[in-house]
Amino acid sequence: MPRMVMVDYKACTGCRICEMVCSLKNEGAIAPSLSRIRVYAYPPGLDIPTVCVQCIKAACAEVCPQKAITRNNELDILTVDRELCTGCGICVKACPSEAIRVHPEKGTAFKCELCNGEAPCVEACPADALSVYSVPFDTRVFAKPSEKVADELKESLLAIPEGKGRTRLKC
Amino acid sequence: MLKGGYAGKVLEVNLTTEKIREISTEEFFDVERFVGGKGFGAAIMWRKLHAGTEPFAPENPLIFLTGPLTGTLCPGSRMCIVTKSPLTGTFCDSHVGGHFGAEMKYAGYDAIIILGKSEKPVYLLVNDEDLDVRNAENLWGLDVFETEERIRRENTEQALRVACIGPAGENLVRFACICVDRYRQAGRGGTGAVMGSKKLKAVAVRGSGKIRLYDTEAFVETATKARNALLRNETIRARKRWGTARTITLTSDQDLLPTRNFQEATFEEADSLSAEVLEKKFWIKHRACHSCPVNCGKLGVVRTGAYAGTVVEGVEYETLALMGANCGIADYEAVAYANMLCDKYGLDTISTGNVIAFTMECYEKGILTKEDTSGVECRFGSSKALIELVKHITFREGIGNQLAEGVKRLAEKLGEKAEKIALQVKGLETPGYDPRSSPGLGLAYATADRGGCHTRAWPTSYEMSGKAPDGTVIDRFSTVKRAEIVKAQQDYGAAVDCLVGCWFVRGTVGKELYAQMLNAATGIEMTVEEFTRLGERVWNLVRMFNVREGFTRKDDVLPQRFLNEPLPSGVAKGQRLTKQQLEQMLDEYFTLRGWDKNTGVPTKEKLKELGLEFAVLQ
Repeated sequence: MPRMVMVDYKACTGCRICEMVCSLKNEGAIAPSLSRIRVYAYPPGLDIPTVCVQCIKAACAEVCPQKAITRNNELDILTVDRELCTGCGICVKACPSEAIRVHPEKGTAFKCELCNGEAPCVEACPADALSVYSVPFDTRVFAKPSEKVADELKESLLAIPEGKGRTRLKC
Repeated sequence: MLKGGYAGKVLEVNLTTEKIREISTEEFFDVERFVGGKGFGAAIMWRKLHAGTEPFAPENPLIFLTGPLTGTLCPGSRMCIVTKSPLTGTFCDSHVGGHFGAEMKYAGYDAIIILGKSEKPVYLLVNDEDLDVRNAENLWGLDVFETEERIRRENTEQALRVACIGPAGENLVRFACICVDRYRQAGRGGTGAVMGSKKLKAVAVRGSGKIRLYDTEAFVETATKARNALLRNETIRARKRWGTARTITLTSDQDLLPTRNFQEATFEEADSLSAEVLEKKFWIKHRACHSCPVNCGKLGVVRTGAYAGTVVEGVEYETLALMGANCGIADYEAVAYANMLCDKYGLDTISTGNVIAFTMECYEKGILTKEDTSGVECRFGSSKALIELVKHITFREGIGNQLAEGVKRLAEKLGEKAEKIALQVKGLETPGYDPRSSPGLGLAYATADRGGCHTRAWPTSYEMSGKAPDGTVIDRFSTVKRAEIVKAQQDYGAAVDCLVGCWFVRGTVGKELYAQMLNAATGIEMTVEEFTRLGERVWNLVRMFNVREGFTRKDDVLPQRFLNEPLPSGVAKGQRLTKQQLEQMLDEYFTLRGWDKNTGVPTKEKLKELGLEFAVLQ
């Protein structure tokens, strides 16, 4: 079963502690732009964490000309082979959820690989918005661009039906 | 060589000459002596500004400052904006959360100093080392929400963080604020008007850099300890759930809640503005500033009625108090709508609520007539008047043009009767606590560096509990020990304001953990005593700035209402803070501070002791 960092978008407060903890663990410094989990702000006041959902039918793995992205069967996640990766960036464009990027210093693709299952971001989240789940189906259903997640969240949280119509938001 | 914590560079932008220069932080600042944030701000203002400079003059700098712990795991990571206030003419440091400060650090800057004045509207783009002063004629006139989104779209960069002004700042409303991340404001003192006077619509930053730490392991351990202490603390847990809004029922019960322009301090309808109501009917989501586990921010949407569809983060306590109870309004939906308008136009809700309540009392007492108010029926309880006046102030229409000057200037124009009911100290409108039932707060207001302000010292919790910090029993309405408590809080607060930490968490984090985090992040070796000393040093330098501007003891006063009119109802019925009580507290305070008792000016000896020889006036 694929394992992934699952996000509760409604619970996320946008504090970005996860970005700092992730970059400290993986880069040895506070560097949100190099964090494997990134939090983007969308109006009005929504915070959308974006992280690899470890798809079974994974677009990034399929398009990689080097076959550098493969499934690590032990953890059941996708990993990047840095020896094989040339940093061409084709995977970045293929990923539906902006969860894989090319490292500006190392020149190879990087993404959440669950820190060997420890996921310190989950541990540090003060809002209980993150957790590690084993999912019994293909997690690719969760892979969406942050903008789309924001739109859906806006719809579910803010839409106010009134009579037959819909109240226009004042914001 | 800076060892960690700092981003390392200061950016200086002159809008008159369009010259941009970068200076290394350690070259520009005495880092060990002033540390960051408010401390750096005080040092620049002392160095750069000639006494008597007009706040709207090009020479008045507008400074965006972070601290060595901004953008790190230190809980509650903030920034401050320093300038000479157009409302008070004093030093002004206005603090704000959100993410702008952190992003500035990731872009590589500890401070951004804006000088001069542009002829045409511009905005400053800081994208790592890509710096650009851009034309903003297409943004001028837009509200805060739209400005932020337009700048993001224009640069196709979702990670951009924007600090901008709305129409209120453009129109030089003296209490216009600078808005960050849509719903966070450097609210007090009119920083937005200074930005407007420079024709600077926005500063947008994005950073992909790193913050290195001197001792990463020790820092992470201490910051985690601070975070966990917060998550376990019971007051903080309440704040996590209900934000600042839960204060309103407390202050109403305790006779502290400004009601109908501070005529009373308990509001009979406070319950309908309470956190319990907001949680049930309005809030949908918790929100936090960068690195904060407390998430006191609450996003809400009005679901029914005339204001249905209103989305805003809040409503914060101060807004509920000043725009709700103080205007006699119990309808949280109307207050939420007015709050949203203030955020959108870029107005400080505290000053705005205070000014509007003052207008309502003037109207009811016949000092202002319907003709004066452009036909608006300015009566207490009128949501319509509240909302109309917010718009009038922003666009300086009709009476709004006078209101936009703030309560002090407006009352001076209207005469003696109006001055008696104008609630301000040094020109800054008083916030959401009535000092008649909290004498120590009276001293805090009178001596706060930027005028009537509750975030320099707040001895009220000690007064309500009946116990001083050292455990001695104090009577709530006496003046005993108040000078000591206020001084200690001001000094500690100023030290935290150098980091730049949050007002709401500092009590729980405490000076020991702050000093440890500072040391681990930067490699500075500061003891807890030196940390408090830092605060005292900064407080004294700011006082000297104000002294140089002509402020002395004669200006450390309180509004007449607090001194002369006893509270008419509630648990503190009959209480007032007499002139004699205030003077006595001031005597004790100046003595404790080592300032001249007659003038309130720091003595030469005191300045030397704090390493501020350069600030001795000839």
